[in-house]
Amino acid sequence: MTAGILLDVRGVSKRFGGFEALTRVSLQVREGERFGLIGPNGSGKTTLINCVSGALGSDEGEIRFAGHDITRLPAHQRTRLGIARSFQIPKPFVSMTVLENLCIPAEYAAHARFPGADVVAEAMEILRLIGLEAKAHAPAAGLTQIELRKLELARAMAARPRLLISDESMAGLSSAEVDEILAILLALNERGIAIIMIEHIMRAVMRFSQRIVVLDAGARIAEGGPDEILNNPAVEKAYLGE
Amino acid sequence: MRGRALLAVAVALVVLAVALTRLSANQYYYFAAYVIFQYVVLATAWNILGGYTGYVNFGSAGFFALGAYTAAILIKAFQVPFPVLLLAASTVGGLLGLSLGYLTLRLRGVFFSIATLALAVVLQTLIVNWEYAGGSRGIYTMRPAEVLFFGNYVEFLFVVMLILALGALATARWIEHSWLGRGLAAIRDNEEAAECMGVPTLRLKLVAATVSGALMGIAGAPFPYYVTYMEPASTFNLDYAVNSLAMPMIGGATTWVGPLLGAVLLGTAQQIATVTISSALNLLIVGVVLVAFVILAPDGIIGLVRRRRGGRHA
Repeated sequence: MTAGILLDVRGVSKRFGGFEALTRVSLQVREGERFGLIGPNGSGKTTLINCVSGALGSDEGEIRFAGHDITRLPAHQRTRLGIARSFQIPKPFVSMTVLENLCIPAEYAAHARFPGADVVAEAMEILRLIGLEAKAHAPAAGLTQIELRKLELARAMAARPRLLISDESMAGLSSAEVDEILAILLALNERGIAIIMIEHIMRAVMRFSQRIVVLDAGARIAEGGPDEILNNPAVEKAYLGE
Repeated sequence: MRGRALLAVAVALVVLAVALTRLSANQYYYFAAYVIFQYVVLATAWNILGGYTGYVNFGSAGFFALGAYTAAILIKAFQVPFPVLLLAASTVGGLLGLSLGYLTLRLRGVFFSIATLALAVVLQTLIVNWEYAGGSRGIYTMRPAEVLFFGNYVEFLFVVMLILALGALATARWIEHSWLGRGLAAIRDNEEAAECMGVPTLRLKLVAATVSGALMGIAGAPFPYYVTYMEPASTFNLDYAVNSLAMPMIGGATTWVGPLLGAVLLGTAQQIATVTISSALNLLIVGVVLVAFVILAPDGIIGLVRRRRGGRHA
């Protein structure tokens, strides 16, 4: 095992009936890394993330996280080990307040590794960091779109992850709001959390990522720094055609 | 502190109930109160899976009848003492809940509900074809000639059912305010997000199904002594399934107070209608009230009260 590798995806495949959504995809994310995952619509980004977070089981291959083989673990156990995700379409717990939303992962996931922590104080601190403090006691059902995106990130943070997967947290937001979410993700990364960013907004991915992997039609077609990716002919072909 | 006050109320209720049996009023009142308490247990039990977790069970009658038949058969075969009946009926109900959960809780929404409906039909068919349990002819149960302390058996059953109702409410209240209740609420709100936030969704759903089934089973345990003659058609009656679902929805399904309110209000209305008009009217009342609530107050009476209060503050 190479030192410093947090997430190690080896040859993962996923089929839905006759459709092969992922074909032997491999990638590695290092501790504390800012990692970009891009690709055209339907290229398998979210499927891959579902396989990593445990929402879907993979048909082939192996996934290791922090030295554990997590390929067959149910999603909640992966979260307890330190993988947290936000959802592309926000899925808040609508009957609860914003603070209560954060208490669920704090109590169920973070508590397994950090027993004795003050759940509420910790949740409030995350809300302060994310900028949702004023809404702590508001019902989650009444939030605006950007507040919902922030809640997704805050709730994932409350699980005290070592790896945060941000699945299109910026889609549909205004330019100023994109900058706001980007600043939040950078601040989270500074606390030592590795982040996988899935995004269509190239400006954000290129600014954020240290390393990028490109998927097309369920297969990996490129890997490199932002500049390499921008100048890669295969990537250009995948996005624009010939 | 609030918990202690509620405990005091519960103890006071039991003492009051025992004192009432000293009055030796018209036996009908004990009969009627028994039915209402029984519905408090059933509605509370349904609500643990239906209201807290969001899995609608249409098979409550099956759980209830299974508890009743378990008791009837144990009485017939071994003359089992009363506390053992309670234990056995709740165990069988809990196991049924657990196995139903294991088989079907991976199904979501309406598919789970259809499976529970099918379960009740299967159980009824089994009982109808089981000679020892009386088949479709039914089964007689003799009440013990004497019962310690109480003047007669119905008064004893009345107090027992009150204690069961209080026990069910205490269980529901504990779940609601514990880590378990918070996890169940997360499942109800969004199961996928709950699982990804570390909630062991399958395990919690199994716990909810087991507790719910055990409480429904125990509600049926005193039934053979209550009616003294049981047959499948009335024991698996649609009334039980509909009432145990309608009462929490009318009262308010997200808190333990809801099923209590719904069961007391609707149960009392049904008893009054049975005496004054006709027993056939019962389900009609439930139907009309339920439709009215679903349209006008989807969060039940509790929801109405909260909205009122919220309105005044704003």
